[in-house]
Amino acid sequence: MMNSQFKRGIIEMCVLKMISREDMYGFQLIETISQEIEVNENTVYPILRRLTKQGLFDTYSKSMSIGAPRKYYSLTSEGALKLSEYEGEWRKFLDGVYRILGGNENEK
Amino acid sequence: MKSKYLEDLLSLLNDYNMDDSERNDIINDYSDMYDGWTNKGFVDEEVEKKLGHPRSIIKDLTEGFRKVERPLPGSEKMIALSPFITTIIFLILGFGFNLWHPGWLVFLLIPVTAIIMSMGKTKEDHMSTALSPFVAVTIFLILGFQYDLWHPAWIIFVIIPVLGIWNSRYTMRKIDLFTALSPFVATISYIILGLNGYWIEGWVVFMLIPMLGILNYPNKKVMLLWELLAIVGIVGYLYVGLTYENTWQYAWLSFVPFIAFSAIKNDWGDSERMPNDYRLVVLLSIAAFLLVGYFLSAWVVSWLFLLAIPVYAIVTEVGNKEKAVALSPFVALIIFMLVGYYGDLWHLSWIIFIIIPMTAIIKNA
Repeated sequence: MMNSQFKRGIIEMCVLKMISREDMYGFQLIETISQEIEVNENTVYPILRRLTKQGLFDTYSKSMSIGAPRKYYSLTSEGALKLSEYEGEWRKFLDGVYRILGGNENEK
Repeated sequence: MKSKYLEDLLSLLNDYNMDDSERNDIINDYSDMYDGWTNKGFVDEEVEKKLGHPRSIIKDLTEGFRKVERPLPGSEKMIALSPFITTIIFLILGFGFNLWHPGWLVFLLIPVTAIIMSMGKTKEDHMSTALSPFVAVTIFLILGFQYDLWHPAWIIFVIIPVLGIWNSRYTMRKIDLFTALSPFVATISYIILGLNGYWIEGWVVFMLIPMLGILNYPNKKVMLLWELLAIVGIVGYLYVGLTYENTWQYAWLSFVPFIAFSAIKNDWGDSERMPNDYRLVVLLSIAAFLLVGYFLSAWVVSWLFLLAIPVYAIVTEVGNKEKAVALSPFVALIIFMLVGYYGDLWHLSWIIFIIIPMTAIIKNA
């Protein structure tokens, strides 16, 4: 059974990955991530904020044609480093799980 | 409503030692997210569920920040003066009205003052948990001394674990809260039913606990089937037992389908989101309470095991600075009850409550 600490770590990695693909604003990230994985929406923002405070994201404001400017998040070099570290650990973990389960070559 | 939601969030953020810019940044972000969900067609209630109740998200948002201490006016003086004021009241009650006993109960005001003044500084949610032992002790002793109702007056102590769980409600989902409270509702109901002569059939109230737990099961069809089997078990048991004489020993067989189904599922629901640690503490403390109460006929003190629940809630949720103050009433209460009941020293054992203001004073120093 996946415990909440473990799930939080995975969400953290997903948040880093999604913002590494494209800069996103908070609501966009939360909406996208909750469509992909079963996640309690209210847990995403505190993670996003914590990672920003740790220097893994930068923020900048972008004006909109309608409405107030939006705050966008972009990955810093430190964030990119952290992400590759997480991805490496994650793949190693999955390899181990697949070996125990009897292998799943397609996933590699 | 958005403005109310943001107002509540801001009010909670104001309790933490963070810059105004940081605080405004969080509020602006939540304002944007609120608008985002509203624009997608969600109504206020749904949006607030998605964003999380301010009290349930505040811990994550303020990670690394300390709570601002706002001493209540004159708090230091009140703590320092409370022993003298209570002594004067005690002497007036004693000499003036010959109420030495139970006049000594006024000394409980010393720890009560210390708790209100210390925990009130940070508007700690668990303040009422910490105060509950005093309310319970006072009611218990008045019922005991005045009406000789030691049993079942001890039931009043159930308010302590119940408050411990209730005050953790913002960090729990609603259904988890009801599940956590259900053992107490069931136990009290069972005792009331038992005292009215329904010891045999009354135990079915304990089915409330698994039935609430099952509501968490993610697959709704399976959940409904499971609940149905529980109802079949209850109705079957009561019907057979009440209709045919001397059949209670067989009537429980109506629970076999429910038990078998539970064994197959081997799970009480979506435990990933259930606070398993709370569940374990609740179950173990109730088991200890019932076993010690029943086998040692020690109901008057066996409820002390239930204190494990608020103690656990305080240990895991209250900040390090307030922990000692919040825990001291429980330590004092356990000693008070054991010395008072087994040594018949109620009139002396209350002195142990002095450790509470002492803890508060040492902490403040």
